[in-house]
Amino acid sequence: MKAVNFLVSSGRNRGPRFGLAVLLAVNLLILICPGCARQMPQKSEGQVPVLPPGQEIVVWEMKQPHFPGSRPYEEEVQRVCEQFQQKTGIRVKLVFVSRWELPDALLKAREESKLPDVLFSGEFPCLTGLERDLAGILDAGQYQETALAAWTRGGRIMGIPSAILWFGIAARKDVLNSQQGEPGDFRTDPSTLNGLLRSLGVLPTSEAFMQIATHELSGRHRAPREIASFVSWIKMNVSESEQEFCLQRFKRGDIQGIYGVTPYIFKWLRISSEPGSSGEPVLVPLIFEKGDTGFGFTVPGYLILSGAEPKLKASAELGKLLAQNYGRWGARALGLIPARIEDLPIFTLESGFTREERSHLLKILDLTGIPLSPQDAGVEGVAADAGLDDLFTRYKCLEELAGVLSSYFSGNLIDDGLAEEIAHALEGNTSR
Amino acid sequence: MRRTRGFLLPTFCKGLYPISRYKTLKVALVISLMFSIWAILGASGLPRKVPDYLAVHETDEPLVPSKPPMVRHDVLELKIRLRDLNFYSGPIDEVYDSLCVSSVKEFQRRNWLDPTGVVDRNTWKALAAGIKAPPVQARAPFREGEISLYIDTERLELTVLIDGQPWKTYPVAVGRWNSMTPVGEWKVVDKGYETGGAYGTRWMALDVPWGGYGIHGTNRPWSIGSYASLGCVRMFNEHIEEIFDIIPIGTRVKIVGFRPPLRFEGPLHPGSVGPEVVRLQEALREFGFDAGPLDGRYGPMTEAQVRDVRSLFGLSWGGGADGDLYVLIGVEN
Repeated sequence: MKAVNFLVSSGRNRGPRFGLAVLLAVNLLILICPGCARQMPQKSEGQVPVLPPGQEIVVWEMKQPHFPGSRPYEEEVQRVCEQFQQKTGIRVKLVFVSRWELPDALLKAREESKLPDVLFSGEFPCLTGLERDLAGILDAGQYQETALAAWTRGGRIMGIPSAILWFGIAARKDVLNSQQGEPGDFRTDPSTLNGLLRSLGVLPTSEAFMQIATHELSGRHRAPREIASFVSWIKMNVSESEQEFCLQRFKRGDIQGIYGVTPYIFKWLRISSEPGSSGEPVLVPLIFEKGDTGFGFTVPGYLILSGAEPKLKASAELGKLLAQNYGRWGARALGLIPARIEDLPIFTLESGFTREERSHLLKILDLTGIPLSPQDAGVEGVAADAGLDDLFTRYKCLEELAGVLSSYFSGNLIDDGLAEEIAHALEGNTSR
Repeated sequence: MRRTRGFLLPTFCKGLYPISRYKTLKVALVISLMFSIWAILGASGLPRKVPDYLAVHETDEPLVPSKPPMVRHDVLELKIRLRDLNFYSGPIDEVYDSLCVSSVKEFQRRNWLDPTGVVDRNTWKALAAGIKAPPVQARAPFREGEISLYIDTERLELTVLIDGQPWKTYPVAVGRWNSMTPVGEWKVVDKGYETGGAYGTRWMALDVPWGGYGIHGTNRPWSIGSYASLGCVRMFNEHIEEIFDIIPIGTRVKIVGFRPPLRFEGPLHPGSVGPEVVRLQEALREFGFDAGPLDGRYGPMTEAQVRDVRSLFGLSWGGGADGDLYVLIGVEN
């Protein structure tokens, strides 16, 4: 205190003392400012701009199933939106849109110029051609490379990745135990997996199966002839290739597993079976006709469709929170791998998978840049030019492909015409 | 003076401008008479006949002694009442047998009715004599707000809700075990007055897509608080009269409680109706895919939710519900 008084008090030597005080103040400023600079984010991460009064952010979400033991997804989303609203003062309008009705709803919204600002691009994501480049907004270092790559086109980040959603085989525990002595061998031994195929069921017209069929494990699009070859191989090698009532037959023990399940089915099979019982499912990687094994995957995310600043920035900030929320919920409820690196412990601790299952699933993270998704990930720049009409094309193609596969598996279509029919069904996609 | 001329009776009574005011009064009286006729015949709809689709459940046709004896659901209630009044001690069933006819004749004789054995409106009225509706206390003062009804068939209660908050709870009778009141979320689609027969004094029809169901009064008030009807919800006449005017057409009616055992054997498709569809919609909602009201109609909303679930769980494409979906959402047999 005396020192301060000495510096600021008036007196004969006030001049030099005042100079000393100024010097000290400048020193302090120099010391403080770099500290501030270090605390500032590298990018404008986390900062939400102020929107003009009356503006709101419209979010289109999709419903998720309620599983025992996990919080309802709608509540989680509402909580995130409310917190964002409280924190920023920006009004958020949350709308749940049916997956099936999404194309129509988007088209209508585009005609009426009422597109949402933030759009959940589902478990089987699509680009709409209207999304904004988030390269300057998103901190790429916070996301798993594999997840981010799924949404990156030529350096442009077209969406906010939320989680890695995998496809695999759900097999009954007792069958695996009877097939090999050492638990875990089956996951690395193609011959064991080939043996397992004979007792599996398949849902050939499911989106999961169609994605597996149309993409190689490396993420490359298969040509119609290759798809036909794979489908034919499945029909020959999977004993129960009827699409109907796979879940019922798995529960009854009529089939020993299902080829091409999403985490949704796997989770359901697991929670609906007695823990430790013979019917409890274990997760097994997919096997392909050339003997490759591995988990397929896709990356759901959030698209930002807001036109200009400052709404674009505000929507992106909300989108990041929602993407993180889905990643966390998905890890807990379904066993998805969160896209944000910091959330990986949730997958480790709360997904309910064994260490072995986790380590196999996490191999997906090594497949940087080759996601198995309908986003034409292997074809640089194609999806970036896609528009809403392409979204419709994709739905139509999948529907037609489902019809072809259904005919083939029910015996109404023979091998000879399969490749042509598949080519015809996928014409919209392959011609691009 | 000019401002009040013509319509205000007190001014007229003072004797000012007697001729012109007399004419004015005449016009006013004619208008008010026309309004009264319109109000009685048009607006109130008195007496509006119960629609056919509701009338499948209750009947005002008299019970007549015959050979072979008549078999009808209301005989059961007749026998219960006669037994309670110590006129009958035979089996309780739906057969209007000779023992019951004798009991009815004896009852009619004791109540100054013609001892014909024919159970008509007067006999039902006499049987109900002395039964009064219990007073119902409001849980909160009445206020303006959205009215809805909540009927619990396990508790045998109908609660009037204002903006989702309970206002009054009334005792009711609901369907028997073999003719259960339909669980679901319905709407009042029609309402009207009756003259005190099997439907009591008021009725309200619900939009249940199968069968005809409604909420109505009764001439068998002893049945209130039991499982007595063929699916409709019965109330004391005094109670339904109390709430009738505050329940507009379109009011939401949620019925919860017992439901018949359902068989999910075949697939359900868009266009299907029935209690199985209600259960499907309910299970979808529990599963996180709300398809709107549990109205028993497999419409576009239900179809969209089913498609969503099928797509999400990798089941085959389509908007129909089948075995895999049943086990998935937990409605399997």
